[in-house]
Amino acid sequence: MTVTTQRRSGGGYLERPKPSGLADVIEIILDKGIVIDAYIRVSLVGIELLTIDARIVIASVDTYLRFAEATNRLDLYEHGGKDLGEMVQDLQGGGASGKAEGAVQGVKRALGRGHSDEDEEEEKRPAKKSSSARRRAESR
Amino acid sequence: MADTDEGLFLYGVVPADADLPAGLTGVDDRAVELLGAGRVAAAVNPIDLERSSGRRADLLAYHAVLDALSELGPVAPVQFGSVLPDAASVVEEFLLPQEERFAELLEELAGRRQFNLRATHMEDVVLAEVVAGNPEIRELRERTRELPEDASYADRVRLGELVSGELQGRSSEDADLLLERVLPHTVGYAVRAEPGPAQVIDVALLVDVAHTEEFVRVLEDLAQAVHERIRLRLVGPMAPYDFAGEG
Repeated sequence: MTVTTQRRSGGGYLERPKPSGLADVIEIILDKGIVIDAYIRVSLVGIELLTIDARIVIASVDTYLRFAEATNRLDLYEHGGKDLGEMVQDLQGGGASGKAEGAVQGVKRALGRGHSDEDEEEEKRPAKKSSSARRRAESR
Repeated sequence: MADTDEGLFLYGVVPADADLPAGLTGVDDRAVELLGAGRVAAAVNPIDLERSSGRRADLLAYHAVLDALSELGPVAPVQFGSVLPDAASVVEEFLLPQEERFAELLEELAGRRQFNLRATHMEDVVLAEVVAGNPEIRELRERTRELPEDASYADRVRLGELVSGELQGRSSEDADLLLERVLPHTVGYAVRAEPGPAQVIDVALLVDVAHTEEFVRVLEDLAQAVHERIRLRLVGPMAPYDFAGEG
């Protein structure tokens, strides 16, 4: 894969992953680009199906339960109380310091899952999630 | 190439005088070639129409070819999986009828590349704000964490719904703040996903190559300024997948 040189970012807060795995690539290209009229196109077995099964619809109840779980798991702690506007304004001044770690990464990974042949790389780890519904079914 | 069992797999549209990277191969390791029509050309390679599809390799090859093309000059990607029967149809049915539009598009894309920017909340930090700021959420949280999951199912759904709504609101606000800061350093943007409970920003940005360093520096500073609440993730530069237009 051709990737131009990536400089290490100064403060290290800006993440700059290189798209390398299948999941990254699907996310970038899915449904993008010039569309060619169906009547001049040739269908190629398999290739068109991809855009369909790459989608995963997350049921809203599951999403709610995940947020409830994350909220309950949370160890409440006092937070510095700066809102984002102040943080952004701090750019003119010295900026924030210190390092936040260990936050649960709740990034929705809707795409690129469900492919058996994908190479899972560490940054693509699905959001930490235990399916409450499944656990309920098993334990009772 | 006029073989009846073969078609042409399309990658993208480039200016007629575009250079191809030496030895560029695409799907099935076949050489990529240009088919010119007036001011524009299509980057294609032959593909066996009877082949079983090796989807993973095809996607990666498509992406790699467009990446390589976009390093040399403007390219308007064609949607993945587009195959035409032969060279004549590429030229006469695809390129020539839209030559003017493609040429204009390529002029706009010249000297510019795409970055994808995604912003997500540090979930624990923002959840703590949400709990602290909403008495009903606080109360539901206290109640449901003591009970077995079965007994509190309805309350937990309600709790999650409220939290989700709060997160949605914060995402929208924060998205506006961030974009206000970033967009002046771009020449175009396309929303890939609207702000949602789990995501603040997911946008494609078109950036002048000449201003890339400054653009990245602005984002680095922004990422540092907001790092307590928000993570910023920048992917690129890449081919302008989100700026090739519809239809």
